[in-house]
Amino acid sequence: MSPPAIEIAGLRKVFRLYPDLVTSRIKQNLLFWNTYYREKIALDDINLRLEKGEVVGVIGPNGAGKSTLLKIIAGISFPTRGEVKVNGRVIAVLALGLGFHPRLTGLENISLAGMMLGMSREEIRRKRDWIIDFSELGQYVESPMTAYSTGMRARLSFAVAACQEPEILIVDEALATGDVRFVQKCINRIREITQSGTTALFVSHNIWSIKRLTSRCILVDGGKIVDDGETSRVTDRYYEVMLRTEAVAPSPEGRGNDGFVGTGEVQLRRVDLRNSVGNSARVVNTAEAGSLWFELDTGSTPRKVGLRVIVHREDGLVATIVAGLAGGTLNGQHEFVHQIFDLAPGLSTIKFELGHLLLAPGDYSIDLHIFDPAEHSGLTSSQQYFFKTRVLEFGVRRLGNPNRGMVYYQPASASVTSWSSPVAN
Amino acid sequence: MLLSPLVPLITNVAVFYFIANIPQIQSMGLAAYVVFMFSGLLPFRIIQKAAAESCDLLVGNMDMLKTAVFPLPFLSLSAVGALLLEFLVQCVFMAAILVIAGTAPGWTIILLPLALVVLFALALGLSWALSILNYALRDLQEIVSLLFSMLVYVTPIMYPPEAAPAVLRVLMYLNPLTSYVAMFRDMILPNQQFHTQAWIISCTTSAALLAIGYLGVRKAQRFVGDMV
Repeated sequence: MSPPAIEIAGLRKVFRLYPDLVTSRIKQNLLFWNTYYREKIALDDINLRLEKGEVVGVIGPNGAGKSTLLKIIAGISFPTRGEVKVNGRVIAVLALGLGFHPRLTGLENISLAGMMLGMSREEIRRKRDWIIDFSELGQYVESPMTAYSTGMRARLSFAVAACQEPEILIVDEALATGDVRFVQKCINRIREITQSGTTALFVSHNIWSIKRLTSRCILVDGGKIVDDGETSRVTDRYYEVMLRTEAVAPSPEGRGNDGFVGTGEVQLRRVDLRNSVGNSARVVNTAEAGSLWFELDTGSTPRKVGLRVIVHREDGLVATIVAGLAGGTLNGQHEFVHQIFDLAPGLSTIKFELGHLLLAPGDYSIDLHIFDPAEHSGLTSSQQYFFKTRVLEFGVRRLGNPNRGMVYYQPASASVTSWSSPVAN
Repeated sequence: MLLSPLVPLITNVAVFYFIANIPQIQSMGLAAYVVFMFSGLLPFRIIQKAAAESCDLLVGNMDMLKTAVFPLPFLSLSAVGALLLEFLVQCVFMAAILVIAGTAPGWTIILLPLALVVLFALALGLSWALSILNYALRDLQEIVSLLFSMLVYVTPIMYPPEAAPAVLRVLMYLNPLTSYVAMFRDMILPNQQFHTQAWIISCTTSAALLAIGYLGVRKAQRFVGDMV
């Protein structure tokens, strides 16, 4: 059996956090018997083995230690304890724009960044046309980097990183920039690279791209590997971890209140999603009943308000609208709430009974819009009380069904019939 | 800036030769004084520039060093390498000045390669050491530039040690840069007593600083990814 591409045993990484940049460090070095720093355990007891050709995703909440892990594998940072064995040439894309100089032209930057990634001049010359083609820069490669838009810079940067087929590829959140089409192109390219036998590790918060690229996934939380296995199972676990993080994080009151647009005369205090048994949940199952709760604060005056509740899928698609301005019924069944609520002064709670959830498995977020129905349009901020995106994020899943490529489950039935059978009235 | 050493040369000549009436300088004659000054200015400015440019190497490239595997010694090597190029150009100036002044360097000029190695070993060692030290102290440039603007007066560049008061002379002999300047004067100025001691001090200082700098930079490689 060939040796593994990456083998990590008992890895531990401890950071020293100093209260300031200079004084405490100097004190520490001179008066070494005292302690002027706080220790932060970034990674603890990490054991990991990647066979050659494996493609693995790394997910976890912010600050879990994902990037530190990648940096240690890439050889930029060093472990405090433990052993890391890496067999093969590593290309690590930890930040886009590495090695770019703003005053040089695109072409010169290709050479510079290529060398930073360890390519030879000859190799860069051979790949140059491919890079220009992939980054879609066209004639702009002749202009200096300062004239580029952020997207152009990101495209060029990714193209330089993706032009080779290294033995080990490490990518950290590199797909965060770029439009949907370019992200798709990047994913296709990464797939191409990994199919040629490259071992790859990806960090991303974008579960969709992780699922498209990897079959194995590692969940990191609090510096430990919490789960390691099949991607669809581990990503489900990720939602649970996020739910737990939510409980520790600032209370929902705080979340509901800052960063909104509008007059604020009516404000969101709390928001919750509850499952069929009535417990608060951030992961719910398709086909089960659920309810959505909003606690609104109307201040000292009673108000009539209208609500718009929009559910977005993670990739930006409007998955459904729970409540909105213009009402509409379909067969008397599918209907979104277009009710005007009479709210007494102070706090009041509005509950949306969701019925059977038709949403397909995936990640969703809710935008809430509170407006004065008398002003009808409710689109400009002078007329609206409160508008905030992502007041709530939740995951929908369906056990035993990993298919997440659709938007919702269309209720349907089938039968064998004749082509010209009359239309049922 | 190829002409940059000419500006301090001209101002210094104006101040020390034409304005200040120092008998030891006046007795040299203008041409000899220009040669004397430039031969001291040349090595001093290389060290000064190496020190000034090195402070920001590590901290200034932090973003790059934190996201890519970069062999740290090369940061200083490239900076000092650029200085070597500049030095060679200035040697051409030196030669031109010698021709104009009508003086020829002695046989000791064959030691130039050795002197260059010793000088640039100091520049490199200093560069390694300062780049790491600046991570711990930050804004070290301010101190370094202040230090060098004072050092220029306790190094025998603009006046021979004999022209300085006793206190300053003691400081001059304590200043390690004095021996580097003496080394270069040994090669360029004719009919001078050979400073064997200066050569030994220079070689030792360079070797020690190079070793310290290299050990430091190797050690720094391990924390460079975790810099804040």
